[in-house]
Amino acid sequence: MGAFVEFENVSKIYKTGDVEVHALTDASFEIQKGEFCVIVGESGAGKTTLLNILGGMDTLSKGTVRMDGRDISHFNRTQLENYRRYDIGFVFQFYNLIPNLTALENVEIAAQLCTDAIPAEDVLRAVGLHDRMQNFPAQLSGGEQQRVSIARALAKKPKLLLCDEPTGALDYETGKSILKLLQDTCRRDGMTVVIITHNAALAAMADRIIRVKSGHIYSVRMNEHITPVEQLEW
Amino acid sequence: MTKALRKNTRRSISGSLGRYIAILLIIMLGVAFLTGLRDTRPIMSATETAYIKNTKLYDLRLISTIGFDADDVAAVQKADGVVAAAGSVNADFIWQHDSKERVYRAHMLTDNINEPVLTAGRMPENGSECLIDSSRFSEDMIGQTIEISDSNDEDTKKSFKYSTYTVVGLADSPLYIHTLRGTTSLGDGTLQGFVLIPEDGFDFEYYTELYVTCTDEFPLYSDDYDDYIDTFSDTVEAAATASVNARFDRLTSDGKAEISDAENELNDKKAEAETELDDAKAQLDDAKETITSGEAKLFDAKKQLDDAKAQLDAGAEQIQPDFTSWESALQSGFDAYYSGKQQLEDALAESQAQIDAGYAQLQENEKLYTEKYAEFTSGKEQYEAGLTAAKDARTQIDAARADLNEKKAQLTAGFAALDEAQAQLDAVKDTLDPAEAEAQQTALDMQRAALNQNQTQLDDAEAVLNEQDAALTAQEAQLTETGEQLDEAETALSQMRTLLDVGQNDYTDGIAQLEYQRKTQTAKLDEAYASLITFQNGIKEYNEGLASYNDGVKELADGKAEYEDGLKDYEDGKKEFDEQISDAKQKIADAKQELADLKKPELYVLTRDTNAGYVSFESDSTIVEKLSGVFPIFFFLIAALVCSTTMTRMIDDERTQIGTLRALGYSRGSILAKYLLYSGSAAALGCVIGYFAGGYVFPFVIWTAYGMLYRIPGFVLLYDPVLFVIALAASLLCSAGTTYLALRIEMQNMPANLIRPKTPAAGKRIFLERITPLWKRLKFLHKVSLRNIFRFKKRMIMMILGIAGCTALVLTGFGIHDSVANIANFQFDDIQKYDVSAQFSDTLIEDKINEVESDHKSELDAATAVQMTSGDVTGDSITKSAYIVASDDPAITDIFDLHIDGETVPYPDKGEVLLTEKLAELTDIKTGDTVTVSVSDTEKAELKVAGLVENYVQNYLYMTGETYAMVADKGYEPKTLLLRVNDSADEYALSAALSKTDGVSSVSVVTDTRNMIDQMMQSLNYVVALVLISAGALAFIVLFNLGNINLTERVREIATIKVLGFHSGETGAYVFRENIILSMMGIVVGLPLGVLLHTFVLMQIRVDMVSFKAVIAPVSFLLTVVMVVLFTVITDLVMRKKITKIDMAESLKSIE
Repeated sequence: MGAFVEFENVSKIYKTGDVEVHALTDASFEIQKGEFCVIVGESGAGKTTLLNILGGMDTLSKGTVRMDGRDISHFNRTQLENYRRYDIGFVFQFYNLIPNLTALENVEIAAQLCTDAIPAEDVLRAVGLHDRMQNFPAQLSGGEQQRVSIARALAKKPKLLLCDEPTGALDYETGKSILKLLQDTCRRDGMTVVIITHNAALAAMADRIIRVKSGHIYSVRMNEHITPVEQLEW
Repeated sequence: MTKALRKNTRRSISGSLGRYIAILLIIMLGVAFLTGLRDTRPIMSATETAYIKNTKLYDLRLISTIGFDADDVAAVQKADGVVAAAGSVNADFIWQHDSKERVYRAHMLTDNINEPVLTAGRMPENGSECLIDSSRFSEDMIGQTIEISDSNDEDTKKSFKYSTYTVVGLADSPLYIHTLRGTTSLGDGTLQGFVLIPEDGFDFEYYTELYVTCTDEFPLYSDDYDDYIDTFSDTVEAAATASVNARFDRLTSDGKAEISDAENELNDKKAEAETELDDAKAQLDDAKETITSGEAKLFDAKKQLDDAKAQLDAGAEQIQPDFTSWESALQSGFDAYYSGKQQLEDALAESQAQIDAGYAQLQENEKLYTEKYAEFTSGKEQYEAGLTAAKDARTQIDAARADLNEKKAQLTAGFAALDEAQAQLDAVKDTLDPAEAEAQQTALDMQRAALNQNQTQLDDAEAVLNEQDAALTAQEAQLTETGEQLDEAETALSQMRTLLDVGQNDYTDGIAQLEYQRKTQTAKLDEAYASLITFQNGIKEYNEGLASYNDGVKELADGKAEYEDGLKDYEDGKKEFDEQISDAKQKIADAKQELADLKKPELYVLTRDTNAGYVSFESDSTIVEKLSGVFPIFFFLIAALVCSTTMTRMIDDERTQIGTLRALGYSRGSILAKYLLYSGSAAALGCVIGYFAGGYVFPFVIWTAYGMLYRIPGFVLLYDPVLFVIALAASLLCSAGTTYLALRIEMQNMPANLIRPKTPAAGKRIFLERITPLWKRLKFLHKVSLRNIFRFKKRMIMMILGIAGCTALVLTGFGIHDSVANIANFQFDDIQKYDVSAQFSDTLIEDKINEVESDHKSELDAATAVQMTSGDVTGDSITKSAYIVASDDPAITDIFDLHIDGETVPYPDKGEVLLTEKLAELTDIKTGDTVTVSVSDTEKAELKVAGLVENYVQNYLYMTGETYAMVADKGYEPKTLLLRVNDSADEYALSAALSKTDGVSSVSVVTDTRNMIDQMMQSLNYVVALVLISAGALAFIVLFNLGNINLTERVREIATIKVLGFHSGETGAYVFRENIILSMMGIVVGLPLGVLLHTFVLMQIRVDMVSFKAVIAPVSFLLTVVMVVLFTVITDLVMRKKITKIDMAESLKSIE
């Protein structure tokens, strides 16, 4: 019985014509169930690639990725679709809400994918949007939209919540509140949360910090002194 | 425009190539359809005009009852406005080939008028060469011959100089623009094709027709042309009439002179021919006599030959009793002869040898005898001598004794002795030599003397004499012995002599015998030889005789045959002579009659309107022209609509980019330029391609389709610059124009606003949501789709309109096909129910009809006698021609099912008529109106319209015979028998049988007409196919374009739902449910629109001859739906591929 998420010597090489781009080289790390993990790195360090692989949006060139004991590195397209559908919750930097749908519907669109999804209204209530459910994304603020986005991800009861720069499009305070929401979700519901960010400041609140640099895993360490979200500064 | 912006423009194009190409293609199709259809009629006209101009199709065709001669042609040529005039003849003939009788029409090749267009081979160079119909024959025919078959009547054969013509080329003729060659009175009534023969190839007295051309400055079918021809034909008619009448007068006087000349000539020729015949007869009689005597001679010869043969047989029999042939007998005869001769010679030689041997023996014996004789002779001499001596001595003694003894007596004794001696000597004197005997005599005499003297001495000597006497007596004894011996020898010798003489005689006899034998045998052989030679000669002679006899027999037979031939020739000649004479007499009589019968010549001036091809080309090209009216404009409108939608949505899409550019400081102008360049270039490019491709493809395809009906070589391309400018302007307007409008609105926003994503139209509940029970039942994703569709109403309407338009176009295409395809069925299955129409030369009476009916009882369903003529119908002001069907036969309703809107219309009563719908419409006549019906300028009647009837091909007027009699002076004369065959019978068999019936002048089978109509409609179907393909293509591009737009606008959304874990099927359904719903809505709107458009288009393409029924078959609706759905599905499938390709990383990108 290994870790919840396991990366074993994972490499990703993009081939465009004759040019090979090593986006990720020999990456190995683990994330335990229920951990709040921050993957931090500069732009172009390979963290988006990591995210894509972890999120089942892309395949890898070499190595093995295991999630909850299943080897996902050799999944075919349908298996990947199911993996995304049932195991992963995704929070986008730009929320990616469907503009024609109300907040509730945006959650429902994800909820109806799973049989035992959390009712959309409950999730929205959980993220503090119980009074904005019938609003269209355009009628919501950025933070509210991101909450809808998180609600949408959580509704599916994923095993892993993947967040791509969740605060990237938000102001400081709103960003913090979103982080708080994520941390609370992790702590309260035992949800494994992986945040990918270029913002090293966020690392302080993580259980596990993985640093990525030039396609390599620079360091993986457990945070001894977890800083509460409220005290984070950037 | 900066370099970066230019690059940006290029990127926009290459980045959204699908959209760019869609705009280009939509514009291209729209322009192609518009210009293509619009150009077709002018191109058809131009092509025909060029063809007619190049080939110099006649403007007027003159026919006169007495034909035309060169003077007439020259007179017409001189008339005002005449460009060219040419006399011509034509003749229909049967040419039996491929074991079928086919009828062709031979035309004379005329210079400068109706010139053929060679499609292969070369022009004829002499009268026995011809050109043939290129639409009926292949190049294989070149070098072969066509034949005026024997089954043609004499008149036909006579009009051709040769009985066969060598095909030297294939040609099209402007006289035959339509591929239908028309009808003929020969054969089965169908003209198979034309043949062009030089003037030399015809045997004619007068031109039967005269072609005239005038200036070609007026457009074909134009009113100007018709007006000009009206006056022109008057001029030409006047000129021609004058010339023809003058000739007629000349002809009648010339005719009389000619007839009397002909009579004289006939008499002369008759006498001449009779003499010739008599001579021939005399010659024949001589020949006959010669033959008879020859026969007798041959009979004798035969007899002689038989005798000779008998003789020769006998001869041969003699030679060789069982001879096989004369020659073998002859050979054996010769063999026998030569062997006999040899035998004879051998025998003779042997005998000769024996004789010779005997003779030698004889010679030897003779020699021996001679020796013995000599021996004897000498012994005798000695003996004689001894005797003498002894005698002497005796004498002496005796003398002496006598002397002594008897001196005188003894002397007489001596003398007696001496006399004895003398006697002795005389005894042998014969045998002794006379001289010796003499001598001995002398001696004796002397002795006598001596004796006398010595007588004394003798006595003295008597003693001595006694002594001597003793000695002498001894001696004498001895001598006697010797004498005896000598006598014996003499006897032996004598015997020997006798034997020798016998031998000599035998020898001589042998020689003689031999000689005799030789002579006789040789003579025999010679005789045998001679007879052989005779035999041989006899054989030779016989053979020669036989050969010459046989020659004689043959010669006689030849002579006889020659005689028979001669006799036959004579008889033929005589017969011919008789015939010719009677012919000539008949001809003269005919000519006299003809001359007497001659009427004043009549002249007919016919225009091109009598050329079926020329006329039907006008109506066919008119259909095309009508079709190109509203239809392409509708088509173009749809294209414009879709194009503008596309551009508007593109501007919407690129809003942020526009804002960014504006924020960067690019001027409005340069941004405008970018989008105008994008849309303008696509539209302009599409327009140019569409204009040229459509301007070629559409007319070409339609022309090719009509090429099945018309033989008009060449294809003139016309590009109308005005049309191009209009098309380009319209294209630019709907692309660049819409772009400009859309941009202008965006531009009014501040860049800051533009950079931000357009606030989605505030979340609105769509109408359906308010119907809560329904809404609640919908699946969640369906709700999403519905909300998406209805959220943007303008977009929705645009899309529905685009799809509906295409659906309408496709349905119209199918509908035109339906309306066109079944015309023949409607007309010939539902209305005109007869299969065969037989034209009789006389008015049909009941008996005749009954006769035909009973003859073909097993085949016929119904038969009705009608009068079918053409006439004019005049309503208030409009006059139209129509076929008049008049019949008193109550069975007429079995043949014509007259109905309207499914209800049967009763046959009209006296004074009433029924009009076909189209005719009523054209002349603006309604039921109950009174119309004027006329069959000529003077024959007319006012009749009441009892009702209208459905009809599709041609226009008809139905009335009873009585009513017809009110119109026509001659009254009701039904000459047409319309027959319907039953299901098992063959209408062609019936037609063939009827053609042979007495009194039938022509028979036509409705199937032929039906096929012609079908063929015409078939051509129209090609046009329809073109419309269908275009509409289909447009529908496809529109659907594809709209699908593509939907997709590109929603890439981010699609990427997001993919990340959320939508299966690809779900993703596709999520995106395309909208498209499919829109397509369905488009179809729902499009079908009624299509029905409207179809009705409208059919109203446009009306022509006089054919009326189209505005029907659309249910299957056409189905096909239309299937087609649009199919395109939707194809689009869907293609787009699904694109969806699969959408990178999920798109969802991570920031909003543009």
